[in-house]
Amino acid sequence: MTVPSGLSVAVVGRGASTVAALAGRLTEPEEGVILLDGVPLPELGRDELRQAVGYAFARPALVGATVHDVIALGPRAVGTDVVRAAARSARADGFVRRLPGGYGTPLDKAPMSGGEAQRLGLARAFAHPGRVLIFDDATSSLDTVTELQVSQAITGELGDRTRLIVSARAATAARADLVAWLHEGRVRALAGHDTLWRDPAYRAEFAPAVQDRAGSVR
Amino acid sequence: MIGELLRPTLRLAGSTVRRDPRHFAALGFWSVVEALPAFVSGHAVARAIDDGFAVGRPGVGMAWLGAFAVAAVCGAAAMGRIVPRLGAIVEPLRDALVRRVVRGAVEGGGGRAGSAVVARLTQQVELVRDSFAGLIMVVRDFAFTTASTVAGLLTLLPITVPLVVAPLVVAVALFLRLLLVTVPRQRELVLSEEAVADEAGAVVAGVRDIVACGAEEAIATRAGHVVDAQATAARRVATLTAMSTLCLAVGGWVPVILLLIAAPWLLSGGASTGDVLGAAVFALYGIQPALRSLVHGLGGTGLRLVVTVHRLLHASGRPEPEGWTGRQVWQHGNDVTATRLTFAYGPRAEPVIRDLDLHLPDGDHVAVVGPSGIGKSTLALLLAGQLRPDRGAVTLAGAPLSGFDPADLVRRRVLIPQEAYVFTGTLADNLAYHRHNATRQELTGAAAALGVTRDLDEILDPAALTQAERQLIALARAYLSPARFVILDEATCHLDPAAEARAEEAFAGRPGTLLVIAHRMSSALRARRVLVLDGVRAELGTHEELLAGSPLYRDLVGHWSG
Repeated sequence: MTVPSGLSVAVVGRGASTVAALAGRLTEPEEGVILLDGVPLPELGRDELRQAVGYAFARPALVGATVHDVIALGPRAVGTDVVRAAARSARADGFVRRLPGGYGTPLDKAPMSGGEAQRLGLARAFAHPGRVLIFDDATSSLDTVTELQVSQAITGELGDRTRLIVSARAATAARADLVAWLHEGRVRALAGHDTLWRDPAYRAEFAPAVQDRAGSVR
Repeated sequence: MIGELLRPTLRLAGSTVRRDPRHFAALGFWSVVEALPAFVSGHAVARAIDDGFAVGRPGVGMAWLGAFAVAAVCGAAAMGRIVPRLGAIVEPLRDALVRRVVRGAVEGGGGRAGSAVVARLTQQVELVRDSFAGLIMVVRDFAFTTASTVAGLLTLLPITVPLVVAPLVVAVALFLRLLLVTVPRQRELVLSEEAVADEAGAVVAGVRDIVACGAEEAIATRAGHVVDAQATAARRVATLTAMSTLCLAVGGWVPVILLLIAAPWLLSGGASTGDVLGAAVFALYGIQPALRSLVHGLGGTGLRLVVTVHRLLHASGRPEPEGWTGRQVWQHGNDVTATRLTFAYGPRAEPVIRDLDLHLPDGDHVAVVGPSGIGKSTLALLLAGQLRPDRGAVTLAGAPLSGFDPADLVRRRVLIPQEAYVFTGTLADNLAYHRHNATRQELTGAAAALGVTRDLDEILDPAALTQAERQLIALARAYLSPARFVILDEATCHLDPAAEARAEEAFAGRPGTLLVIAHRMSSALRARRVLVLDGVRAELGTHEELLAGSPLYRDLVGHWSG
């Protein structure tokens, strides 16, 4: 499987999170090799790799003394303005400013929902954008309005980066340039969402969410 | 600083005495009996030698030693009476502390106290109880043994009293001074140990993210600083503890040396060999062990106690619930009204809720929708009276929430949060939590209404239940409660859409007011009215009205549906 540089590729199906972990060498493949711009990942130095590949997770572990530190965590130091801009892109700025001490709020004094934690995780990734950004179900707890706003940031400001997006939402997959559809441990197809959507087996990957969201309102 | 650290412990000790002085009187009486062997020991040895072994009458000598043995048996019997009294003093202390700690944690957490926090505090309460009991024993033992020994010396060989007492006074004074220096150091040590535990926990929990962010070295450096600080604090305390050994040497051994040096002079002054030996017995077997247990007791558990009590009472917040004015008169049906409600999570923070007016007539069914993080849960906590607004007020049945007796409030409104709480016990116990006198029929009815399929007498293991089951049980418990105002704060988020619809329909069919913080748009469609929060304004209307008039609502419905 090849992810073309500068495009966004949604990864759909069982094993998508494993692909996400492999792509940034959070786990090692048992066989085979992953190349980043032609260079095998193990040949990249740790700093080089982390500068190049950024991650956002479904359940980010927030590490740092304050909210600011959480977003600033990364391979290199970043300034306050970068942290705030990243938080704005991740739609985290609003709720952070409502915290008792804003960005300086100690983490243990910041009551946070799953969606808010996810947005801090996204802001952390946005604050250190590398050549590749990997979103491992990183917008799953956001309501659809917020998710749309965040994905606009992903396609807008970060539109020139290579993006790997694991998601169980059809709408998210539809916004990606290409979809890598995994099935029984292989890439069954790498094509546009609209093309794949004609296949009922592909639609079945999203079935529960779609029925819930469409069926309950209409 | 030191005074401030010591005060909670002293106050705790004081309140224990005031609660039941009779226990302390009894403790004093039996302590006198228990200290009897210390008084007898020197005399028995002196008489056994002078009147017995030294003058060729071993029978008399043995009889004196026998008298000492009898005294020792009496002392041991007295000890048996002391321990239960100690329990009677310390157990109420534990109960009082647990009450304070749990209340503090619940209030401080805005209704969302972490169970880990409560567990840690409870463990600290146990520590306080144990060390407090130990401390009473140590201080009591030292006071009575010393008094008994000095009385023994006075009646045996009064001239030796200064030789024994002067070094003891110096040693105790030195030790107390040292203790005062150690208290703040000990506190630093405890805090730094907790910091190490927190840091290690955060690093372990965040390994994936730390690696993914390439922040290994930064985090390792930071953790290293925390560990170094703990090591420094431990070394400081160790140095001070080592110095307390010096006090032990001064108070425990100097009297013996002085007695030996003064022996020829004492003997020439008319004292018998037995008298001198008896005085040495008082110093070696009375004073020395009493001082040793005082130094170890106060220097070990005593220090921990002072620090833990201070932390506990600070961590558990306010000592008493703030004044409620007693039972409110029932009036105005059961309407819920919020007037100019404003709340921020801190003085410098932007308000989450600003000037919100809301009127929910009794029997209303309202769904609250809005983007995540906009303050829906905060609104739920405010309406339930679990958060205090900065400005404005919430009234229930015409009376301000802040004025309700907490027990009364529980009967009038119930809030089910996202994280449902189920305790170990039967399903029936769990369901009847808010209505203790519920009949089997009512329990079965509530379980059926929500679709709880388990048996009423099945003992639930909360950890073994799925999140959906926990939510159903919490919902059935609320369904059964006598409260006429029910708030569901995403309380159905782990249910599938069909179970969610069934739950909301069950609540809608129940008498009273229902406020649902919506997890899915479908909740809004089931409600009579919808409250849209967007951070600036709040709009209240029916689904159709809002579709026509609220762009945000149209957005939410549109995006939610597709």
